[in-house]
Amino acid sequence: MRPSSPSVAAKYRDAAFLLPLAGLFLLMPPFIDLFAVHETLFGIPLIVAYVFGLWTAMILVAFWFSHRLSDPEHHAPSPPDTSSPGR
Amino acid sequence: MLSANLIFTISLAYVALLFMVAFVGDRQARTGQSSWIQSPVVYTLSISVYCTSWTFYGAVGSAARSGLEFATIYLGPTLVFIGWWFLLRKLVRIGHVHRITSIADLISSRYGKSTSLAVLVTLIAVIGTTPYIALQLKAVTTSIQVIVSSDPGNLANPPSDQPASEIAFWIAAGMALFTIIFGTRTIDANERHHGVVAAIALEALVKLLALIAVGLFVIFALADGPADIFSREAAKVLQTEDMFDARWVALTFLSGVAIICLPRQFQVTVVENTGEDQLRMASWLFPLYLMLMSLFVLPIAIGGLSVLPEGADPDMFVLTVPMSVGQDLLVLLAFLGGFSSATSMVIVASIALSTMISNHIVMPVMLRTPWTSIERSGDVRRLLLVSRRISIGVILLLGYVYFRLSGKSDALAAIGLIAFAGVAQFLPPLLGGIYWKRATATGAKIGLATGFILWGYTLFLPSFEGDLLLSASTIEHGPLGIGLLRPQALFGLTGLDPLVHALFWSLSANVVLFVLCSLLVEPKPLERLQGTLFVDVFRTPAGDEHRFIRRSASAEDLFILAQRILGAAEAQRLFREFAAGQGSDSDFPQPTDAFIAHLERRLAGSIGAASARAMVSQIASGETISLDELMKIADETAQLMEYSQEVEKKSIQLEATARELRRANQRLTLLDAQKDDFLSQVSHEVRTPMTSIRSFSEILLETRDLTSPQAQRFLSIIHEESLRLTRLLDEILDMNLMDRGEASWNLHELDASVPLSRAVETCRGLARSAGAEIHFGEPASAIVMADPDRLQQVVINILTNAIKHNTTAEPEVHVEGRLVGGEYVIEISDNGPGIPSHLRPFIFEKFQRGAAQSSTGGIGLGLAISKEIMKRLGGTLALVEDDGPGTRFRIALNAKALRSVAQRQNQAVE
Repeated sequence: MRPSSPSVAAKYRDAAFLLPLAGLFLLMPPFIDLFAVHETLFGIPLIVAYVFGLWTAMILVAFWFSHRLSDPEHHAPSPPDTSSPGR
Repeated sequence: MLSANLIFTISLAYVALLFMVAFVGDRQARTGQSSWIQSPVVYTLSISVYCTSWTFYGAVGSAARSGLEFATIYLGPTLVFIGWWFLLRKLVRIGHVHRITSIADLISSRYGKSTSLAVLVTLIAVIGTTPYIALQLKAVTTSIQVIVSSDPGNLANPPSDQPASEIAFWIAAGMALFTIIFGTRTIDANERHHGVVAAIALEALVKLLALIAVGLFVIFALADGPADIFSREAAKVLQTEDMFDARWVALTFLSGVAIICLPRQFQVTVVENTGEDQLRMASWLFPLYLMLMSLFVLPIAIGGLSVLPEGADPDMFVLTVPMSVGQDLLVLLAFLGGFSSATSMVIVASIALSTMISNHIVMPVMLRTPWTSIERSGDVRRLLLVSRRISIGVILLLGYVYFRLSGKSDALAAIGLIAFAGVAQFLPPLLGGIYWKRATATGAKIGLATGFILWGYTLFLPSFEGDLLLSASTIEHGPLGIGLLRPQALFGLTGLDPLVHALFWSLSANVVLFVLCSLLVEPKPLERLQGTLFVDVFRTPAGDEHRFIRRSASAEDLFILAQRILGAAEAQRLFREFAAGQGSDSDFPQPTDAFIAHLERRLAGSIGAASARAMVSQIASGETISLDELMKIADETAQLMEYSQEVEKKSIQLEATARELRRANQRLTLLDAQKDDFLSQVSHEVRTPMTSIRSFSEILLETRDLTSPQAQRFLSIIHEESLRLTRLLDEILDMNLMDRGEASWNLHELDASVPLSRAVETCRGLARSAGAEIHFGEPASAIVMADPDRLQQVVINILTNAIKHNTTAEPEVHVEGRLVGGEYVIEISDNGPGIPSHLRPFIFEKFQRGAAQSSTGGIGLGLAISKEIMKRLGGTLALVEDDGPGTRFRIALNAKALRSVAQRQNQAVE
């Protein structure tokens, strides 16, 4: 599943950086005020549907990213160093 | 209706179940069957200690009062976790590499393993967490009271004023016992508390299921689906116009900070993490858990508001809504959910705090008292474990006392967010520590202390409404009536929500002082070192400190130290392993810098970085920190970039060289082809005269009756042909010498007209025999730098060609020498057939002949040689392009000075 090319991996990392920022933007005023209106969607207030819909979308994107992010560094992910003697 | 006895029995049974799960989990981990406990799912569930009873019960209460606001408490952590790659991953990596035991340890370790900083962080954590534990105790006791003492008719007034203190006490005692048994098995904080984690994962599932069950019941049993719920009158709580204001932003920010900075969250997320893959899954699974926890909060709140009588406590809706319709099983499940939320938080928080207290307060005190100094024997390990167990007891006792003292419910209810704001003070030193190398301990201390004091003054103390330190009038009018210093309107800043107000002042002061002091104070060498190691954790290989810290200690002393903290067996194993790594069979490794650093890090995993350093320093001597090395590592990145630039430059150079080589190769191939042509031409040219010489000599040899004139003719042909051959060979030799630059030159100043006249005279004989006429006027004279024989050779060559190749009936050749500008120019023209235009560019090449092949001339080296000679003399030989008939060659040489004809004549006389 991991991207093979370093440039693709770098692209995913950049995109992953945007995810929480985008979430923040969409959840904060003034943007969120767009949805704070007396409307309903299938009987559910629009603002509730918006917050929980956005929440679900963020989880799905994070799930999608979680398999695709990989280390740019040379060192392999070091396990909790149980034994690294003599180094 | 549930009886008190039933509730107690079920609580006890549930606690017994937790003990059993913890026991089994611990056993399995010990016997190596720990796969499910180490799974990312269990890790994620353990992070859900974030959802305490304050959120289990309180979220519904908050929703009933302020609508969607409750969601911020879960949205902040969601944003932090979906951005795990950039912050959490770095924290976890640092936690592994430096064997971090708590958030206090992380901050202290980063800032030069400072003990005082660790103490400060521990104090803030304890002050912030103890009321929070009290809140959990209160929630559990209140929930029990609500269940046992109210009948459905009395739900409007749950007896929260007199919480049963005995219940709280026994709950606290039970939690202390559980935590001591399963939370202090080993002293290495990096070793997971498998039993605890297993029990907490179970509790996480119970509270989630309980809330979902109540939510589904409200939506589908009490109401007619989600649309029906949201159409109730009570749903108007959602429509607060100014919901998305500063408080919304502040709460989201605060909860995002809390998920990192709360000691218990740091414990489960960073300290108990065993690999980055756990975090990878938690990055989406934990937000999903939070989303599911919040999904039914609004329906339950609206359901409660619609079903229950006016004035019912919304904080207990999760219990009272199912109670009002007599759903005993659901009530029980909801109670267990709340119980789970409270107990899991208490367990993890007390483990985290006890580690901090024992490592950062007990250990330093012990190290400074003479009777426990390192020289004396004694088991530090046992002492640490005992101190941790006592700490757990003390923390829970403190929580209980706090709960008894602040019986008034209102003071406790707000403590959740107040604690968040308290631990948010850790954020500047934490973020600064892992992203900013320049951040110093002084900056961290001053910032933290100021932020903490401001938080206490503007938020924590006022929340007691005059019962603690600050009197009610001080809160209202400021100390000594100074309005500017009013805790909730500091420096006249009014109109803000108290939480936003406190957060603004405390964090601003914290950040500003942290940054300013960091910039003003030079970091100590160890701070610089730790700063580099922390900030560059992904670039620096683990265990690199020994490159920078040099010190010496005996292996025996180190072993005694290790044994006292890790235990004899573990210490022996560690020493043997390292010795094996050094390639020796002995029990003790060489006490190199690498080994001392390795041991210190290992000890830090048990007693914290500051204490480990203090203890190692007691037996190690001559410590120096090499700043040069440190600079080097800082430069390594720069070097890497430089290196890649160099590589790029080199490859460009290589490319240029390759192009050059290709060009040279092409030239060589061309020259090779030319050489082949030359050879075949030479062979051909040599063969023709040779053939005629051979055939005529054969005739002479074989034919006996040859007449004398015939033989004479044949002999003269042979003679001519051999002359031609000699000329050809001379020319080739000459050309070859000239090509190699070996021809002899006799350069000196001379009058150019002299060799010119001589050449013309030489050719007159040939012209006569060819019937050609040479027109040669008196040439101008000028001094040129030349070899007279060579110049003469050139003129003769061209003149000969002009005579030989002239096929017209009355051949004429014109020769003139004159001065043009600074040049001496000789022009030789004839009235011959001229050179066809397509051959003109090639006449100076070897083996080209301007006219068609004829037997009269050489093989065509003449012009090439002449051109080369003129080049050597610094002049030119060119074919003049004109439309007249015949051919016109021009020879030009730099002239030095003009001499008078008289002089020349004098010279001629001499």
